[in-house]
Amino acid sequence: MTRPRPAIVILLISVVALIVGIAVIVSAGSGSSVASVGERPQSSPADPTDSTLDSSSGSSIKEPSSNTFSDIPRTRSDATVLPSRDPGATPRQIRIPTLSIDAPIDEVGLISDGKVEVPRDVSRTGWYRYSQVLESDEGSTVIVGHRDGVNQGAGAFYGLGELQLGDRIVLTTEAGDRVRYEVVARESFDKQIVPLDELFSSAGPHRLTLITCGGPFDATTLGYTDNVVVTAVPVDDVATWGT
Amino acid sequence: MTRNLRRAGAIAAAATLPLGFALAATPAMADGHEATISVLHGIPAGAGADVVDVYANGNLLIDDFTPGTLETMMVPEGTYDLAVYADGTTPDDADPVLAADGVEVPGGINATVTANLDAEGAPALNVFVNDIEPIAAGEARLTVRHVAAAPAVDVLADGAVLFADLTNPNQDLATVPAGDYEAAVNLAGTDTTAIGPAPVSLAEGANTIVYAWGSAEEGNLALATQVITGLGEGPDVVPAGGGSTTGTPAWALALAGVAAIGLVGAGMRLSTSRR
Repeated sequence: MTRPRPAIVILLISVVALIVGIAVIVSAGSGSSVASVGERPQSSPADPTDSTLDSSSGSSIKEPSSNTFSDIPRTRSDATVLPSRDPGATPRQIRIPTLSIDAPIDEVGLISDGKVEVPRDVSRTGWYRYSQVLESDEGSTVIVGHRDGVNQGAGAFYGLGELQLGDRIVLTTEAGDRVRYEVVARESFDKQIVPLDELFSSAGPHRLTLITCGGPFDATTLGYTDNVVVTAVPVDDVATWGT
Repeated sequence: MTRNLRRAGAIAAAATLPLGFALAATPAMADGHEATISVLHGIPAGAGADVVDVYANGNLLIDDFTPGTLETMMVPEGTYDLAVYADGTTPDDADPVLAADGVEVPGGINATVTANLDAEGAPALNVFVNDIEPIAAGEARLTVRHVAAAPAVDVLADGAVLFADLTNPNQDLATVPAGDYEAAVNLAGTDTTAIGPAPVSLAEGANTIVYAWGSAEEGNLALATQVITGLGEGPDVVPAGGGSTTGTPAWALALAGVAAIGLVGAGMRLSTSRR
């Protein structure tokens, strides 16, 4: 009986190792996928067929109907009040009792290539400084946090995908006030299609938007393929949310 | 095309100039047969227009409008005859305080009509087209409009001149990092502050439109603002995971990596030994 050639032995071991490795990666990834539990009330981008219909109907200016304008939607505001942000309403600590999350909030901005900065210390979270402060009149307050780190284990937002509709989120402001929000939606988006322009928008009803990573881990990009997004609104606004 | 307009001041048009003149070639305006129109009452109190009603094509559009107030509404596209009447009078029994006939409003447009004082202090109507082009993440758009009875001014942000030599009824605009600023208005080319400094927060993805209004002679120059939100493009990506909790990816990845190296090595040895 001849001894197997070393090259064959290495080949066999390598194949077994590759299969085991891939199996572990794939199973871990599929186990962390998240299903949507709520409808987001924001309207989706306009159906492209709509604008086609519009443009095909011609661009000539028509005489407006002779209505009295009494039923058109309108808002009236005091223009002499200049827009301001209350620095005291900056979020500094986030607590989610149902997940035993209690994490400090730093201020984060943008790093190169349009990437949102996420605190390196995965036990901390980041308030996107260009988003709204808490309890604003409109727009999104965005807080990002790691699901995990390469060598740091689970991050502050590790369990975010487990949040349920109605769960409470308690934030402490710079001024020391506690502000309560309630979860109204939880979704998972592939990062290729996650609607960040909408999630970060300064328009629309005021809401709290928590973002972390989820879905399968992509060994080539060394990142998760998805973003897990939780939308919450001030407790007093839950009844009217989406109406 | 619109990018060229960004820093081109003087987009302000006389009230009778059709709005379509400025924006008819912009394809983004093709959707919708309604326009977003705001009206600013920028005639200071005591100038004979303290409470007015605004009429469009003979119909009441805005009731009991007072100085410093902004009203925003959706109107059908079309051609409008605008008229401002003192409260208590109507098109049936009085002449308007101000009027502008044949204002063309294309669908999809966003514009602001201002009732204000001209440079000499006489009431005037002006129409400004609002820039609603997308804004990059982290940025804000600042538009400044001179609708005051005052000479040319410089507009300062945090003490530095951002717009120089702005005159009534013109505007200038720029994209700046979102955040909090101290805004001030100086007489053009001087250190004489006419308005402010006042704190103004410029929101990401919004066009914040600041109006310098009032009368220098009457000593009531002031700032008014209009904010158009929802123009932000948003960031590109939120990278929020390193992968240490996906089962045991660290060793799995290492194993796969070793395996890949092994495969290559083994393949090379096999092919070498076959030679």
